[in-house]
Amino acid sequence: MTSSADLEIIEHLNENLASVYRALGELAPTLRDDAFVVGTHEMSRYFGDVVLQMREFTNAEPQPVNVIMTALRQCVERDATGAMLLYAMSMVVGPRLLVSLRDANEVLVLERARALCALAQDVTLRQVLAVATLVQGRAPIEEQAWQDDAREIVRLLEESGNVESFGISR
Amino acid sequence: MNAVVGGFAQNVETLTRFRTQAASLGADLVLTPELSLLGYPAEDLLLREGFILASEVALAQIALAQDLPPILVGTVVSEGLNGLNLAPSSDGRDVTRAIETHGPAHIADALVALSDEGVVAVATKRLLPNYDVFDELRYFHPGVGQHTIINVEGVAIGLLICEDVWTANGPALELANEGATLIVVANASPFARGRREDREAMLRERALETNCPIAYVNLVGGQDELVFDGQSVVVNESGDVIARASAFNEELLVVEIDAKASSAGIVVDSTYSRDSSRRQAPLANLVIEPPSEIEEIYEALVMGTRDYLRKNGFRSAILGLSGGVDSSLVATIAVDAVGARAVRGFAMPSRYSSDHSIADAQELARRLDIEITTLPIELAHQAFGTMLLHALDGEPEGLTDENLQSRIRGVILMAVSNATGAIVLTTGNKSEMATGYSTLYGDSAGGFAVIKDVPKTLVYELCRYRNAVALELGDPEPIPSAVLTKPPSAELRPGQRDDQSLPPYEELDPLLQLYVEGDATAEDMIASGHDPDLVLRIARLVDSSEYKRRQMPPGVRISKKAFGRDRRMPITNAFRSE
Repeated sequence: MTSSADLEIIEHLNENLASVYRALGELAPTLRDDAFVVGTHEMSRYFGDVVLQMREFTNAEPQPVNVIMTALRQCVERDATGAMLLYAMSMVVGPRLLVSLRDANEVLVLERARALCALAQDVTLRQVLAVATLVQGRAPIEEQAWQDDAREIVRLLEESGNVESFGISR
Repeated sequence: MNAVVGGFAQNVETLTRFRTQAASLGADLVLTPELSLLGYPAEDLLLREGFILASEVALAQIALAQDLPPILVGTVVSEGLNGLNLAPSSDGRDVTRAIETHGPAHIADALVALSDEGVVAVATKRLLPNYDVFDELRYFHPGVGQHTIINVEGVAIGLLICEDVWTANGPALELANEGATLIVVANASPFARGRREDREAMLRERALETNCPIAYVNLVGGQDELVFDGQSVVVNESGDVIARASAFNEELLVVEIDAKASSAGIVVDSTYSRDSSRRQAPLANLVIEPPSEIEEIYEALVMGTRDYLRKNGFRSAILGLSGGVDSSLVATIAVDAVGARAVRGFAMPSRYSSDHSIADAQELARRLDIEITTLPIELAHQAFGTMLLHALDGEPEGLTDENLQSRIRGVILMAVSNATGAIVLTTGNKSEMATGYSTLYGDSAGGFAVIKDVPKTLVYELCRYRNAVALELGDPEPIPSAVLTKPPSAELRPGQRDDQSLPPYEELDPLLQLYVEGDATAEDMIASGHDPDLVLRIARLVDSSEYKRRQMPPGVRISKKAFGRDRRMPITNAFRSE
């Protein structure tokens, strides 16, 4: 691995993270549940901070990853409260980001790149966990239709080749 | 969970990721598969002191996490942990692990209950399987004494590991008698045809026997020849499935279980469990419909291939494309496993190759969108013929000449493998493997034998299944119909067909199933009405091919008795069942 390979990997990771940041930022004000509006907005800001630091490292404006943007937007189309969006962050998109970050961490060479990767891992883990605080005390959603819709989000990512992760390069 | 054998950092990361997800959904307890921290089966790594120490460090890393739900981690423990006593090995041998610096210690296959307050309880596996692919008496001491019951949120949860739950009137019933109101079982149960049905039928029996709901969590992923299918399942006290995870997919299954309240068991306390407001489960009790048997087998082959490549650091695969059904299926599986860009085919026609075979190979490559390189072997074939003139007192003939062609192809593929780092996928099927209808260092040369446990008749079924899936999705069929309709042939001499050397596969495969998978004797098969000459011929072919099979690459196990760990026959063997 070379430093240029590191740069490419961080660019790719940043595109994924930036897509999450943008989608959450765009969707937060549209949610019907006030607590979810605030929580999703804050989540977006945490990802935004990582994106900024990665952008300084790569010196490249991250391009949006359509499938991530689409998956998160579809969550809100299917459930306007924002519960499915949070579910997707904790069960679908968040874990795939974490697997990508784990895989990247195994091949990155530059100290700064590894530090950025570790920061992104930490932030993503914390945001997955933050979902617990946001939804605490709420009744489980057991409607079959909601669950089927949630599986559709998983399927969307799987069919686009993101079965376990978003990969570490384009 | 798709654990990596010896990949402690990866496994800790995976466990932490799922535990965090579980926390985000308000779960009270996280159950992980058998030996999830070490991967399964770790085989003789378990005899290394350093390996056991690494597992202890990894467990400590998990214990450091704060504010996450309690977790049951599958790992090994040494005698002495939490006052743990272990029985001598059940056959009286000492399975003390190898000593480097710390002196002897006995280890057990265990489930460790961890909270942010440390190790709360340890359960050890009682019944150690030592059949089929399992060798657990070689490594572990069985647990003894009172069973382990933990108490989470007022539910008494009995802990079992894999084999423990399979025995009627065994550890599960003992746990229920000791006060458990919910039983959880950590498993590493490998895939084989019909295994899911076996598991769920067994769980129904155990639930009815114990009057307890049972949560059964299974490993997923490939490890050498084994593939674990996941399909974790929860049954209620009547044995009805109330939640089932998907097959061949690493995922978190969140289940709300209605279990009787009880004060029995060691109370699991943590900062997490003291905050009861967390509890909610946005996506509880999913019951995923199980796949059909043919879909299961196909997915097992894909996952086994993908994980073998991924976990061993191969980024791409190459294979010979003959235009036949076996190489067509292997190429399709490879593309589904690692993507078209990571698969490259080689057509290596000889003077005996038919035009339609080359065309079929090219058409397959076009449909799969993989690169194909055509390398005629004529020059090498002639050169070997000339080189061997003196040694053979003439040109190579018959079988010698046929196998020479196959070996030239093996040399070419291995050369490309050396130059590119790609793994060579071999394309032999179980019928060929059984009867020795393959060439050592020829078509059997390579790194992974994807369909070595797939009989030829099933190869056709899998091709038709995969084509049907494509049609359903509106995609073109990956395997050209001509491949499925022409008679099978190795094309190593003019007009050669498989049925000139072997019985038709429709006759051969059922007999091989009886002889190899059913352990029937030739006498049994003849007595049940099969043609004596055919039975004796097949038995001889199978028995005399052991030396070849031992030299085959590993491949995905899909049957309950694959060649290799399941069926260990001596090579030097004068016994003939006739």
